[in-house]
Amino acid sequence: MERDRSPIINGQPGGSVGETNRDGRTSILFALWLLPLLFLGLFYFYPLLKITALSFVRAEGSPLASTLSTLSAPRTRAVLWFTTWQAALSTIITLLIGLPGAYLFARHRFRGKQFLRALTSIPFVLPTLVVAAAFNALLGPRGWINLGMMALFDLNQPPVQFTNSIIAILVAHVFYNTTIVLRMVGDFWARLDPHLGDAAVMLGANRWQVLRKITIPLLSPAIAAAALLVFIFDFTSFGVILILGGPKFATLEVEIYYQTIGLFNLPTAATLAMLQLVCTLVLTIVYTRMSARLSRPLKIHSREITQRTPTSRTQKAAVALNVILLVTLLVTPLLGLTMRSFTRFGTAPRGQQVEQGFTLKNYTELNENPQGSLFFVTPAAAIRNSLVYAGATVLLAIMIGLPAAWALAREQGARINRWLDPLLMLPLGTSAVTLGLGFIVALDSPPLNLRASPVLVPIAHTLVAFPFVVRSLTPALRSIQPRLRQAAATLGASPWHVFLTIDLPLIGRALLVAGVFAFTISMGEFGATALVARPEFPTIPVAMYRFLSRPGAINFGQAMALSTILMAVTAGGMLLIERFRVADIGEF
Amino acid sequence: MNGLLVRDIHKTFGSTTALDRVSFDLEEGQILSVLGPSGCGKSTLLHIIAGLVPPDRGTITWQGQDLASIPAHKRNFGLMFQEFALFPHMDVSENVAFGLRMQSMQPAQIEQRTREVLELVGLSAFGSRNVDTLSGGERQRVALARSLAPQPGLLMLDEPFGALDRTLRERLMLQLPEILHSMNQTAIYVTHDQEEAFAVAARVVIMHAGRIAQVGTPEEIYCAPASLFVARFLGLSNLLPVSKPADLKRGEVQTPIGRFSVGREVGEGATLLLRPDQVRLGGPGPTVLEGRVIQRSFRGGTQRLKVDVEGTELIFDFMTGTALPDPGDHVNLSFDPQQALQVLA
Amino acid sequence: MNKRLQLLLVLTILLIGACAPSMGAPESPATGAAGETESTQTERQTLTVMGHDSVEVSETVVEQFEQRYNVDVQFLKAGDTGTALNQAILSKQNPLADVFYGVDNTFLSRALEERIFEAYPSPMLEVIPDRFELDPQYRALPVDYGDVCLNYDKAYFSELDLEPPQNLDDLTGAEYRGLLAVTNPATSSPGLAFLLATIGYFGEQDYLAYWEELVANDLLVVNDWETAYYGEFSAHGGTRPIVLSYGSSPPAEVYFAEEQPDEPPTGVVHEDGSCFRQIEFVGVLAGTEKPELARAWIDFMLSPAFQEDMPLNMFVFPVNPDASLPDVFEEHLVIPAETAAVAPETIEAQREAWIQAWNETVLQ
Repeated sequence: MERDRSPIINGQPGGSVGETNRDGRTSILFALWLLPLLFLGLFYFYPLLKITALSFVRAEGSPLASTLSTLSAPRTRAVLWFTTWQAALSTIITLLIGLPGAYLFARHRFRGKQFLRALTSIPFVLPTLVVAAAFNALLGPRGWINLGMMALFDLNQPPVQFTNSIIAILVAHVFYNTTIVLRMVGDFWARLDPHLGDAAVMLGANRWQVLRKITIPLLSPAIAAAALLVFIFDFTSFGVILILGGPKFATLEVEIYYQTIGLFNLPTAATLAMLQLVCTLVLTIVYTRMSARLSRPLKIHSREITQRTPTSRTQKAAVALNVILLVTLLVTPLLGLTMRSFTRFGTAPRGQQVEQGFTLKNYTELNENPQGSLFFVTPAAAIRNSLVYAGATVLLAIMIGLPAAWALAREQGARINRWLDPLLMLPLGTSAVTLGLGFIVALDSPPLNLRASPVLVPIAHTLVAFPFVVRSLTPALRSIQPRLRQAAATLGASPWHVFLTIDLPLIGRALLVAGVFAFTISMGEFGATALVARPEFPTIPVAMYRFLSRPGAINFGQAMALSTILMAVTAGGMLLIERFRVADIGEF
Repeated sequence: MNGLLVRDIHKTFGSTTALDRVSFDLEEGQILSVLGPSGCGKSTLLHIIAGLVPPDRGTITWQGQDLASIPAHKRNFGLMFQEFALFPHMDVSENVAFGLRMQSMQPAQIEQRTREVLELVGLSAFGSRNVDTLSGGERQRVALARSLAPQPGLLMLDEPFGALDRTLRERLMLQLPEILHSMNQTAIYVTHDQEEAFAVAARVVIMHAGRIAQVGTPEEIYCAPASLFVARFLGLSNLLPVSKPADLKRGEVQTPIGRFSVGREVGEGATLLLRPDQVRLGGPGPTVLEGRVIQRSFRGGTQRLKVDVEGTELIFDFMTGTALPDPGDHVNLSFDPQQALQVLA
Repeated sequence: MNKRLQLLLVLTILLIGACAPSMGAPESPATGAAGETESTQTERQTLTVMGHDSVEVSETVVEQFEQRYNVDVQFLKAGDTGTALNQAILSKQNPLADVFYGVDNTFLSRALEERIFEAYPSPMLEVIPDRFELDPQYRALPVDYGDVCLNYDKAYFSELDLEPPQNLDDLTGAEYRGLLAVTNPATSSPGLAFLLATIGYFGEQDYLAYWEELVANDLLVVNDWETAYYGEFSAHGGTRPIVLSYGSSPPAEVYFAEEQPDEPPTGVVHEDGSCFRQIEFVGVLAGTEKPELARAWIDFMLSPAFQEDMPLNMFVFPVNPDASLPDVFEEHLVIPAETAAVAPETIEAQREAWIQAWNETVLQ
């Protein structure tokens, strides 16, 4: 069977001895793709196609005319333009801030590094409303910075206008996505041979030239992967635009939401969703073509060799500066939130709100259910639910992502890979509203009647986590020198054994990165999941929204307490995952 | 002096001392080998001279100029790394041209110089090859070409033959000094292999645990190892522990195979080296050892006898062609203590 | 075909096989073992009630119904009001639930046009005042109402010795310059309600002129209620002492305060029809297999037992006059004598045009 197909795959007639070998590899490739494609087909393409088809059925004229009129509308052009430039600008700033941080984590050893790294990942999981609250505590009209400046310069009005500005959008995007750069580039950087830089120095290159000519080109596969993911996240940004950007800004995703939910204008929404998808696809195709050219086998080095404890004064100063930058940008808002969760406001006799000092009440009262509400969930149960969903997502995403990454890394040139690779990123670029409704219309009959099933939650999370897993694993798998695999094969190892004994230990670190992403994505309730109906098992973010949607000081305090719990559980989970080091490459 | 002066270099990493008061000189146009087991501080020494790692103490002077304030990329030194560190994102020519581009040379000149250097190392046809596709020996020569291209004042080579097979290594061991001498290149050659060290350089520094154990020409070092460590490291056998019973005469030492006169006082705990190549079969000679042959082996230019003398196994080398007794035979050996015996501290 | 490939295929099929039953399982309402043991005892049915995320109800109240009808009631929360309704519409061929609760008068026409409900003239409607009954064909039945009103920070006005505004007209006055924060009608349900309030108050001819004056008076617009109330409202740390919220917010401030104050820290701008009344409806989803139970549930929702449970859970008020209000509302709730009125059909027909006109006037 494989033999019949080989001419199509190879584009040349098979038959020689070399070709039989090739047949075997092609069939392995097919086998590897089977599970990922089955998953994407069932839970992504099918729902998406069905909701798109259904949407166009509702168009008044012909679907084509409706599409064209949407696409030619000046409003669409304006939204697309804004979506693109804010995403590009956000991505550039995120890289500018993330790359020095990645260098810090990759090349230095210092006290508290593990902890700082876990902290920098927390923003990724925080719901936008909480992040907005955190930034408000810092930069809002009554935030520390404005109050400080008003006191300092004797001003009547707060000088910093943060919310409802493009600055707020950019800051929030950097806050959310820097961890992507830190993790993806940092991991790759940590394994880069430091002697390459030294060799360039010995040939007369100064620090800047080493960075430009050696380091950046060698890091480019990882930088490109991280930039692509960050860009797609910014491009499809919803909560940040809506809550921090305010009504004057709309991305495609915001517009899709408004057309779908507000106006129930499904044909327009579907057209915009397709537009967003096509943009993602074009971008991903450019990326895949580029990354295949960029990545090359690199010698893997243990972190023992590549990491240095800062010794000289300049090195120490650079490390300190870097740490301060990351802490200021990523950790202070978290700290503000945490502090807020330990305070409570009461009403003074004349009606003003007064802060009442340190209290644990926001936490202790989480266990009380004064109204005897049916939907009450204890924090312990919410934590458990979140962790179960996150654990399932990690397993599922790696189970689906690993074969795909392996297939991509094995045969870079294979036509099947060239076609399938860009498709893997699509779930990230897909409108959450559209996909959420897609689940409702597509997964509605046995055996896939999952519309109201809790199983849909990890599935939806996996759709978002899957591209991250593939993007984390593929560069690592590609950088394994084929010689190592060949060596194992000549020693009698089957491909499966080669994978177990060579690839798996060598990608231990990347697997960890992939696991951390899947975990955080699930903890943070990304995208379509917010729209997945769930009868039971509320997670921490779901429990938090319950409080945040009601007026009253106690509710706000309890929402802050729950988000602090979310941060703590996430940080704890990440520190724990990092302990399960799958045979770190430190051994060789 | 116009060459390299290394004075009193000291370096610690945490609690371990990597280099301890290291000093030596190197004249321009000369090649110096630094020989020592792995972990003796050789690579750290190179990195300090290169400027990649700052020393804790000590000075390095090149052509009369103190290098302390000159950063690595401005020293115009070349360093060839253990595993070559070829830039994987550049082809062979681009690798070689890198240093030239850093000097902002004219493109035409860069091209010419690159061609010259590649020709020198015998890789003229390899310019556009991807470095991933090269064999070990080819990589080594690209790395050498890359280091030589910018005409470094001082070239340092860190275990350059480490990863290569034996025949290739032996061929390159002969070629390398030729290439370097033809360019009148000042060079430091670091290795753990004495054969390489002796073959490449006129002067050798032996390092042990961060210190210099001995400096000299290969002959000096081989004929007169300065310490037990050096003798052992050179693979010299017949190292006999010395004891001092009460009835010992002045100038005599007691060893497990007998008493010998060495003509000077020797302290407790010293070692006596009986040189394997300074012994004759039978008499006549001032000193005679009696033993039984355990093993005889042919080693090309020499033959080797393993002999049991009073329970101690000794090894002796003889020119090929000498008639040697068979295993099991009794044998008499004689030697001149002035030449064959050497006391090591 | 080589052996490795065969093995992989088998593994994949096994995996899918292993997943399938566990994926199907959650369809049964009660989870896991408990559900199975119960089903062997009696044929206990499940009634699924779909609604938006803010639906809240006390456990004891639901238990009353469950015991009386020997049924499990399962709630399916499906996002905000619009999202939940859209899900119900898109799944109408194969409904997700038996009952849908939570469509309000701004979305009512959409629900009715899409024919997601079956008519049910509940006997309970007799006691419910006619002003709440917006669907003459009894497909959507009123359950609760609440008023979207501007709230003000009492402390701010008493400190400055300034009279708080009484109605929408007041807000264009110079003394209220830079004090008001509202939400975007395109993205927020109270935002839309407030836009409708201005349309009801000033009429379709003049409301845009009013908004122009608000903009000139330094109006702040944010996208969602949470940002407006917890971010911008001076009573919660912001700088704007007048904010768009609900008529029920002041009693909620009392109820959710650390030490209950004698009077709410916030007041309501409610004179002359300055508020918009949101009425929420329930209906039997067309195509349900349990119409009897669904109707029984609707009767139950309209009965005092359920109606009296709503105020403290959802801060909305009973349409059934027999239901009494909890003390905190009796004491602190202001129910406007008149509210702005816009018909649901007009809302559905004009929504896009109104929002677009608002957008052009206010945001550009």
